[in-house]
Amino acid sequence: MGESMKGLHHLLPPLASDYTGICSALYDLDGMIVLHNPSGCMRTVTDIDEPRWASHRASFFSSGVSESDVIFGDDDVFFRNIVRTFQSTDKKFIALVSTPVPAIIGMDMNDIATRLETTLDVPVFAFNTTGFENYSCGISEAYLTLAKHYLSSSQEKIPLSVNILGATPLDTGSDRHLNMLISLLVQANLSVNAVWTMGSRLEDLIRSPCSELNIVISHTALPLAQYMQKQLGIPYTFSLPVGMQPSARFIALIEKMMKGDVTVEYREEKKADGPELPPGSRALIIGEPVISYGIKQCLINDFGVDEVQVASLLPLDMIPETDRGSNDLTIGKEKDLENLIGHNHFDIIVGDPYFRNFIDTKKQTPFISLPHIALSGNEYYLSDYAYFGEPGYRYFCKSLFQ
Amino acid sequence: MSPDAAKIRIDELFRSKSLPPAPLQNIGPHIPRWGVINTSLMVPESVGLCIGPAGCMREPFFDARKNGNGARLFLLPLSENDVIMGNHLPSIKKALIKIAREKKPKAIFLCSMCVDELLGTDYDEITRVVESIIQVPVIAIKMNPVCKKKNPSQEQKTYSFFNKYLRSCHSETAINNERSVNILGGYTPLSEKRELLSQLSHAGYPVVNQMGEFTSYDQFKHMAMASHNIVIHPRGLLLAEEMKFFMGIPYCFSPVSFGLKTIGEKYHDLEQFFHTKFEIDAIRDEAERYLQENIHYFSGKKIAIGSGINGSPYELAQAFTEYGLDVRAVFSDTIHDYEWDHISSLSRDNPGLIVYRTSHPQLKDFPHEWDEIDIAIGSDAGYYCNHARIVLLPFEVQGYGYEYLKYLISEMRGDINPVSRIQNDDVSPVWENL
Repeated sequence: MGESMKGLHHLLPPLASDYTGICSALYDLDGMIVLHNPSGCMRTVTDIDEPRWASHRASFFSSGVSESDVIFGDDDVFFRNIVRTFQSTDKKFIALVSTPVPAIIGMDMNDIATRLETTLDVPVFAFNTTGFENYSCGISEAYLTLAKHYLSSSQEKIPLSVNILGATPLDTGSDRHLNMLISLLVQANLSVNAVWTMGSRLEDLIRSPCSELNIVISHTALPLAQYMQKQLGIPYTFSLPVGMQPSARFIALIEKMMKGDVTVEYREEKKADGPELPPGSRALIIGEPVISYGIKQCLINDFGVDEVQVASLLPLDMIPETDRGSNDLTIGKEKDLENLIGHNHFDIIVGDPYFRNFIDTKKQTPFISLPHIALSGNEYYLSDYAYFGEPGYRYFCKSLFQ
Repeated sequence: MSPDAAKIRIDELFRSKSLPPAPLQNIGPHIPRWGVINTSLMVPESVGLCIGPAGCMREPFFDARKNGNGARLFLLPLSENDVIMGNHLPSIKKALIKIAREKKPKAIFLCSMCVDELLGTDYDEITRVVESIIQVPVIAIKMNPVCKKKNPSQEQKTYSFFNKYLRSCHSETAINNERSVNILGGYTPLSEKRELLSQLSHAGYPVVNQMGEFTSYDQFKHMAMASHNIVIHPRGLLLAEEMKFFMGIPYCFSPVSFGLKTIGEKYHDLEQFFHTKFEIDAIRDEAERYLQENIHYFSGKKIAIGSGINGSPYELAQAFTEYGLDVRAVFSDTIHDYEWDHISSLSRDNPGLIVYRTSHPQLKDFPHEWDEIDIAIGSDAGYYCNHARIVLLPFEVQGYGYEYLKYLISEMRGDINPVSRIQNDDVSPVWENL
């Protein structure tokens, strides 16, 4: 799951790293996050991968480890510095996040975490990330760690309540997109108990077991959803309400899964009344797997696209085979993407603006921009786009027909 | 709780000779950086290849893209196993050859990361082998913040990467142009046209080579044949030392300054260095007049100065103190040797001035500490002083002498040019207006 694209990169950066994934998952939870690194890794997170840094700053620090610290293995300095800093803050937990330097010398964060936990009497989580893997495994690991530590099954269920799993700016984009999903759920008479992990507080996450259903909006949360299903008996879905008809079907699916009453408006299928693409149209979607399959449903059902191929820089094997198309693939190298786009005809391409560089300008293939922050960083974070619900339909309509 | 652990009075700093220690670091976009890759790609017609963990590749990718160098950068993410076992070397060699054949660059910078520093990977052998195959210089450089506490500084070492290449150019000709000057230490060429460059021209040095100004690789090679080096920022000192040692080019360290007296002293140093007399009096008088006309705008305003400026925050604080302005705070993480003279003066003239350790983890918890600050100069000062008007003096705007002082004052007034990050292309009209 955490493998990054191989080979020479020229047009695309590698996806955000595993330690970025940890930081992103924990960002809003009022913990003290300590990146054990010389400083550069932290700049990648704050300058490129964490758009929330501009609006609200988390307690997010670098250990500033130096070559001599590494050579002499003086973990005590690291330990003391964390103790000193933590004592001047009021944080709910400490997360120790490893990076390439401690990883390459085989430093184990668990030992320091245990000592810190004993000294400070606060939960301390150790993440032995390496910087060689991508953000997926970081987010997944952070979610599972939190779930194992904080969630218990002895909580009373709240009828018609759901959790949203897998929300981080890296996949979801800004909270504007998340709010579109929440608003759709609220209109359907559902309440959102906790969002893992954008906007919700740690206390909200702890109440997650009260929910009847988990809605997974990114592949990063599938391990968490599976864990919560097994340990807490909460079912999950990773069908997404992208566009008009898929949104109606999404609500119908939730109604079926929850056996509750959702708003009448959404019981009937909302029909897209806009233009459709000509028969035989082919589309390519390149992006995060769960969102990409949501968009696929929208293109097929709302716009009449005949054939949709999904390509991702991330593995697709967590998506059930029944949902996957026979041509869907994981992009292993930049060259593979170049070949895919260059040697095939597509009537529409949907993906991060960086993928535009692979399209032959002579072909003038319509391109729907859908920024993936884990790829292009905060550059397009605030750009005007949508994918959830009716706003998503309107955005696709506008991109295709105007 | 209080931010006391993160601050020190300037007179105490002068006595103790050290900033408050930062147990952990709060590092973010408020502390500007130029980056190793952008520094190396200042060599025209060169390309860069970064190698290392995927997580380390994003920073150079976005740095290069931001500066318009994206098309000249390649990345080769490595697997953990390959790095540990040393299996990555053949793929690096292959990538270098592929890039050289497809892009036909005049030079390739091979940039390794912290992990190779710790493993002691030797890239000199690879560069030698590849050079012999592709007949293009391959220069091994390092993006290794793990060594940032070492002396010389990371910034100086990055800048001195040019030395290896310039030495080979120098040995090709072994002739110095007796009337040409390199300006070292800047990331972009001087924006002004009338002051330092015209003084050098009148003194008989019409050819001035500046980093960031070259449009071709052959032009860049001229630096190796210069007769003099002027260092306007300490980051250029190591390169100047090496050029003096290996190529016999003398240098004068004359850092960017904002105090009328200090600027005058720097010009005097340059006069002695070039054995000449500049015609600078009229320019100084004009700057003095401009200052007198405008300084009242800032009377009663409380000022904070950060290290994220293209100059020394301590020198600027001293200059403003001399002009009678109310400088309340300086944000700083490192102190260069030459700055101690300014700290000494400040401890006498403005002893209550508070110096904050920019990256101290506790600073961000006290947003009201700087509520009274009216003007924050530099991105890091602006980051902390929430109610202040922010005046940036970024790396992209490189000035020198009296004109740079006037430029700063005009930025502080904000009515000549809106206070904002200024792209290099937009600078000329502002300079011309002053």
